Amino acid sequence: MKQLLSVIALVLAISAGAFAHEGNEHVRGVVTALSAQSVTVELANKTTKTLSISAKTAIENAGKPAHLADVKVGDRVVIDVPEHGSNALLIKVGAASKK
Amino acid sequence: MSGGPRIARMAVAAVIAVLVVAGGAAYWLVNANGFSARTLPTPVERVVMRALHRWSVPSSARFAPNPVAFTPEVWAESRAHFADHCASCHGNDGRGDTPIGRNLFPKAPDMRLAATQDKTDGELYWIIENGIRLTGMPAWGTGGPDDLDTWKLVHFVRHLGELTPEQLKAMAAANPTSPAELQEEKEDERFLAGEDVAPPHHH
Repeated sequence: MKQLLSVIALVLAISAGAFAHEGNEHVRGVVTALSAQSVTVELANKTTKTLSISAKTAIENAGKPAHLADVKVGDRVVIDVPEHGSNALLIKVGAASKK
Repeated sequence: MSGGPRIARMAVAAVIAVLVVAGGAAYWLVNANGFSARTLPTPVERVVMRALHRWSVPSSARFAPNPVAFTPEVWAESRAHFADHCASCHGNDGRGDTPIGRNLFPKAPDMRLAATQDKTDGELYWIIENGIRLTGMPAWGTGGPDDLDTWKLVHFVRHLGELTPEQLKAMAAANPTSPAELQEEKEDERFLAGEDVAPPHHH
């Protein structure tokens, strides 16, 4: 029984690590378009991705709460998106792109 | 004088009948769902398992009062404990809407709802301590009646509806993080700082 519990605990521990952010994906890119409803970013492979923005979308700048107005075209962002989803949960704003 | 053998034959026939019915039901279940965890439990499974589980909790444990007083310190401690040990399946908000919780059989429950909240404190304690057989709920304790950390988690379950966005955010920061995720977070920070990093890898 102890062995079974150990195996279950191990599986849960490994799984917990794999899904620590509850299945969110991180989208890294440079903002190319922005509105109150959506943000479009250019990814490293030069493709673009558009994600929806809602009242639940949180904005962070240097780890502190920010506002959508703080996001500008050309900014580097990391956006948390649910796995297989397209609604932005959290937009982390970074430095403006060099280009 | 033939009563004994006759009763014995009837008993054997009854046992065989029960086995045939149970075997047929099992055959149907396996063929219908392939033992997949993707489906929802049937109504019969739900009723039977809930009844069995309720009966399995000793009445002395069911009506045991929570020996821990609910204080702001207990509330904070239980949030941190839940975030570290329980949220991977149950979610920080207790809704069970996580990749693991959604795909268990049965799925992790929304603990804010009556199916969980109608349980007594003692039943919640018993479940956390002893787990639930044939589900994803492991036994987290030793089974004794006085694990104060478990009683604090009972308070957490009772106060799920009071979680604030700030508290949920703090809990998210306390969720277990794998080495791969730590690496991804570092790369996110480097990217935000203006460095060129490889695209994130997703499973």
